Amino acid sequence: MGDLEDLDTVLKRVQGDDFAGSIIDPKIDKIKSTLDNAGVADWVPDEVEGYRQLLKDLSSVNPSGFNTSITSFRAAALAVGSDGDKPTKKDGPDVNPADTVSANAARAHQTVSGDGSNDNPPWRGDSADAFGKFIAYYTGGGQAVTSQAWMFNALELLALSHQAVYTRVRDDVTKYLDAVQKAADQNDGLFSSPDGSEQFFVTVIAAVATVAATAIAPPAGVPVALSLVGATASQTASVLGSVPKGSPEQHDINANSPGAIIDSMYTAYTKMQSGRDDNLKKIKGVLSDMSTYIGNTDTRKKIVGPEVNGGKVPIGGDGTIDPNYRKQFQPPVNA
Amino acid sequence: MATVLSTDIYMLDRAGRVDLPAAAKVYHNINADHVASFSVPANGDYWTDVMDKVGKIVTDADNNLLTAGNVLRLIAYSYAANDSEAAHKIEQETGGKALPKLGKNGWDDGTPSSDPNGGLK
Repeated sequence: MGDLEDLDTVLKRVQGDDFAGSIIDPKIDKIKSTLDNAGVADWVPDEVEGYRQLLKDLSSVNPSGFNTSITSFRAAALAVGSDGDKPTKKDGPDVNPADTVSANAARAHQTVSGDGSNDNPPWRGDSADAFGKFIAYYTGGGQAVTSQAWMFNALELLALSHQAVYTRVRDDVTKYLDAVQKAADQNDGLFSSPDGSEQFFVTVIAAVATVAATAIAPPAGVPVALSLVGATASQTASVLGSVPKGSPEQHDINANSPGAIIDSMYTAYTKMQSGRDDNLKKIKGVLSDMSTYIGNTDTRKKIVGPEVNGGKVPIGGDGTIDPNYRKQFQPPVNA
Repeated sequence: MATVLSTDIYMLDRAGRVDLPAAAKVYHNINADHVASFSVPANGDYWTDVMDKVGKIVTDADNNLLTAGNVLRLIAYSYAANDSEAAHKIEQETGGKALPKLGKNGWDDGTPSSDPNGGLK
């Protein structure tokens, strides 16, 4: 299966708030015009208008809209973890204590952004292992500051995944429309053939399926790993590693009439839509699980630190201080 | 030895008065710049939910650091009450204002905790 382009390259091509007006409309108008000129009986222009709206819905979210959030999460992780680039806490047989926090984070990011090339591999076993180490550290009872950094790192990964879905979908929409146009362009020749039996065969490689594997799988592992607190890193990595390596889906536009071209277009749309919806559903599930996890009292203690506001501070003979005493003796604001 | 102890007391006060509030400020800024300003994608209520909890965690971290700083200052003042050298150093650092003293029921002038200036005039 053909390699996919690097996600950043694709993002630059498909970003913008007027994707529908600048990409979809001109391409569909040209397809309509081409088919109109073919003047064939089974050509139903109204159907194209319906598909135009469906494609606009598919690509309605501007993926570059996530850039600010991604940058913010990264900045937040650095801010709380600027002194946290320590050797990884050994939390299981697969965790190498020599690995630093940032090294694991870098590998985790790579599992999201990998384009499938040898230099930048997509999600697979070894990157699953790296992500397992990342998660093991996050759940490994490290210092509160470090755990907070990981919380933001996890959010950054989820935002990257979300962005990846919308980026790949827009790219797929563009490529499908180009493929449909390519088929339509040859209709004159097709239908002027004596027996009309000739078919045009256009192959489009859609990236949606690979996004599910490269971008969604690592974050999808977050709640799995988080729910396995206490499990070893190797168990975690095994769970994550069970996600199969993704490859692009191949869809054929196999048409022997203009009507068939439009039908193929519709089929392509439904596949992209279900792919997108599945991916968004996974992200939604991850975020929901993460929300539950960090809302858990014990988790909050670990991430935030001791609950001093709940009446306990880590100072004093028995580790507590009278809350009333603390309230009354609030020291003066810095003089 | 007295000097070493005084320095320690002073450092304790400084940690509670400057260093921990500075750390708390980091969380305050994170909440303002990165969490509260998060832009929710279309139909992204699930993001709103998780970011709400993240905001609370960061706010708690902010408050906990401030509280821990206050506790350190309390301890420093308690010791400084019996260490004129440390008391003098803290007073110098804070602009020569009188060091508040801890009594049985509060600051020695009875200032309630709701007074943001505590016992200092």
